[in-house]
Amino acid sequence: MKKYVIISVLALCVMGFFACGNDSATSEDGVVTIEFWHGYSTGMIHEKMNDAVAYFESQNPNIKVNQTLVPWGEIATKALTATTGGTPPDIFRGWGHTLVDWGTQDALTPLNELIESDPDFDINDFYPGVVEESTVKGEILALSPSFSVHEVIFVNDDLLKQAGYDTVPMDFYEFKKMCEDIDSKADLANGKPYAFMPWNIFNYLEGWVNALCGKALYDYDNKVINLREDPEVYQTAIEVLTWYKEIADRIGPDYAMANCFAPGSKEELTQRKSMVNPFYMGEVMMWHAGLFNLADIEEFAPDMNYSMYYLPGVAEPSSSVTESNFYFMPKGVKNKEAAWEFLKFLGSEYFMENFVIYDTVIPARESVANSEAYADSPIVPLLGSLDRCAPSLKVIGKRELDNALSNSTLDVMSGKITPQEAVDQYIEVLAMNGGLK
Amino acid sequence: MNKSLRTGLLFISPWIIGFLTLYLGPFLISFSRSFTSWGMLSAPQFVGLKNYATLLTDSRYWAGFGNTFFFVFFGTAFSILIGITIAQLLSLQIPGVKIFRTIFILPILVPAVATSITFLFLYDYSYGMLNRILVSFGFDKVSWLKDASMVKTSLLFITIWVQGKMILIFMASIKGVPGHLYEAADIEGANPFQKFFKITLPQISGIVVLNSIMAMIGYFQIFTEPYIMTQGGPGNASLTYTLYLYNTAFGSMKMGYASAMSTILFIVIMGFTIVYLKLSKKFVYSEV
Repeated sequence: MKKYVIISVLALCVMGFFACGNDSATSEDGVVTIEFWHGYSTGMIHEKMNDAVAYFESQNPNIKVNQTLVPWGEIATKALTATTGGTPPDIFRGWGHTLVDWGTQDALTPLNELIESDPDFDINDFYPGVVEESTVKGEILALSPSFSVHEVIFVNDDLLKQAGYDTVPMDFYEFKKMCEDIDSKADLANGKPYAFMPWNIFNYLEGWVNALCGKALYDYDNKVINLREDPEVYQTAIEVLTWYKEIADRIGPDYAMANCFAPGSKEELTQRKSMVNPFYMGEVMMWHAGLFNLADIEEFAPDMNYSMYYLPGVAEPSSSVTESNFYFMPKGVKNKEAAWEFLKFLGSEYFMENFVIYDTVIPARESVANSEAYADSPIVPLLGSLDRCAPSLKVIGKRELDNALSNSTLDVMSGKITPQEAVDQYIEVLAMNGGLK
Repeated sequence: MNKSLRTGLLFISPWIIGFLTLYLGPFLISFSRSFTSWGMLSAPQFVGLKNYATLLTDSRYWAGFGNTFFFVFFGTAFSILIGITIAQLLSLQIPGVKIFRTIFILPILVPAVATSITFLFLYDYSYGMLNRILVSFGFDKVSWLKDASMVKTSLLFITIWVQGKMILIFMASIKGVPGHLYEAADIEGANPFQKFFKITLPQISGIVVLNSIMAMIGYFQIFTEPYIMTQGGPGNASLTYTLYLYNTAFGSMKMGYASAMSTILFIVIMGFTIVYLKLSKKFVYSEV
C-alpha cells in the first residue's frame, strides 16, 4: 500500500511539471473559451481592450475570451514556446517579424478561406499595404486592425520658428542644409537646441533608403539582397550612415549615441519613454521617431506645439515605412471557429473606432480612417499621402537584424568603423540570418 | 535494493525528477537538435555537423566568445578578491558592522532586471548620476554604455556589485576557522596580514575554489545585464555568448544552430571546471 502511495505522489509531481498549459475548452453549457494574449496591460488602453472584449462577449454569448497579459518584449517568445509545447493561444498580438518567422514555418492559420467564405467580412476595405504586409507566399496569415508609421519626423514648431524656419523642407538635401545651419548656431547652455536627433531602431535604414531612392533594402520573396546587388541602394545606405556620422560629429558622438535610442530594447524604452528624452526636454527641435510616440508626447510634453512629417526624400517627395499591428491565429488552435469570430471582431469597424483610436496608430480600414470618428485625430495630416509609404520589409529574424544594424550604426557614430564597413556588416548578417542569399 | 538506499532515493526523488525533466532531458534533446536545422515550429531537418562548421566562420559567435572570456576572467578574479576582502572586513567585531553586512548583502535581494534598469539610469549619459558626479568634479562625461572600450567594464561593475551571496559564503567560512589558530598566532606575534594570509586564506581555500567555479560558470552564462542594457552593442562590444545564443534561438529562429552553441558552451564550462579542480588540488589546504 505504502508503495502505491509513494508512486502516486511521484506521479502527481511529474504531472504537475507538465500541467502548466493553456486552457481553451468548451464547457458543459456550450460556452467556448478562447485564449487571447496581448500586452495592453496598463492605463487607459488596457481598459479600452477590456471594454472591447466585454462588448464582443455580449454580442457572442457562446464565446468567452480569456485575456492573458504578456509583456510586449516577451509575447513572441512565449507564444513560440507555448505553441511548440502544443498549447498555443487561440489569438495573440505580434509584429511583422513574428509573421515571417512563423509564416515561413507554416505555423500560422491561413485566413484566405475564412475571409472568402465570410460574407460579413470585407477585406477590400483595408489599406492595400496592410493586406500586402499580412501576406506570405500568397496566404494572408494575420489580421491587422491598425498600423503605425515608423518613420516620422516630429517637429517642435515653436523652436523651429525661433531658429528662423517656418516649415521643414521635404527635399533631403535642403533638410540636411537646414540641420547644418541650425546646429552651427546651437548652444544648449543658452537655450539654443540642436536641429535633429536621428533614430536608430526598427526600420530606420529601410525608411531612408525608401525615401532617397524609392527602393527596398532586400526582396524576401525573391531572396535577393538589394543592398548588395543594387549599387544605388548600397550607395544610398552609405550616404545615410555618413550623414548620421556628420550629425554625431556636430552634436557630439556621445550625446548623439546616448539619445538616438539604440539598440531598440529596454534601454531605449527607459529613455525614450521618459522625461529625459531630448525632444521633450527641448534640446532638439526635430526628432525622427515612430507614430506610436504620439501618446508619449501627450504625456511628457503636453504643451508642445508640434507637427509631423514623413521623411524628406529625393526620388519621392517624402515617404515612410508602415508596420502593422498583427493578430495571429497559430496553427493547431483548439477552437478555430470561435477564434475566427474574435479575430474578425478585431478587424471590425467597431474595434477600430473604439480601441484603435486610443492606440495612436492608423486604423487599417480606409473607411474608418476617413470617418468622423477620426476627424480630430492628430494622424489626419499623414493620411493623405499614405500611398507613398512602403510596407515594412519581410525577412526571417528581423528583430535580430534590426539590433545588429543598430549596433553597427553606433560604431559608425563613434568613429570605430566606416559607414561602408557598417553596411557590409549588415549585408553579412542579412545573408547569414535573414534567409536571403 | 536495500531499504536505506530506497529511503535515500525517495528523499532525493524531487531533485532527481527535477534534474531529469528540467536539466538532463532538455540537454539531451538540445544535443540531438544541434545536428539539425530547426526553427521550433516545424520538423527538424538533419544537417549533420553543419551547425558546428558554421560556428567556426561566424564572426559574431567569436566576438561573443571573446567578450564572455573577458567577463569570466576579470569577473571571477575581481569577484573573489573583492568578496574575500569584504567578507574579512565584515567579520571584524566593530561597531555598526551589522549595518554594513546588510548594505553589502542587500543587492542580492534585488532582481537582476531591476538592478539593470536602475543602472541604466545611473549610467545615462545626459542625466545619469555618475556623469553628474564627474561633471561636478570638473571631469568630462563618460559614455558608459555606448563607448565600445567602456561598455564591458560598466557591465562588469554591476555583476560584481551583486556578489552578496559570495560574501555570505566567505563570511560563513571565515567564521568556521578555529579560533585557537588565531590565538596561537597572537602569542607568536603575527600581524593581521600574516594571520589572514597564513591562517584564514589556507583554511578557506576550499571555499575559494568553490566560489571561483560558481562565479566562473555564472560569468560564462552572463545574460541579463547585456540583454537589458545594451543588446550586445555598440557593435558587438558587449555581445556575450549566451546573449548571442538567445538571439540566435529566439530572434533568428535558428534553434538547431543555437543548440550547437549551447553544446559547445557546456563542453567549455565542463572543461574549465575539470582543469580548475585539478589545478586547485595544488593550492587547497587539507588537513587529511
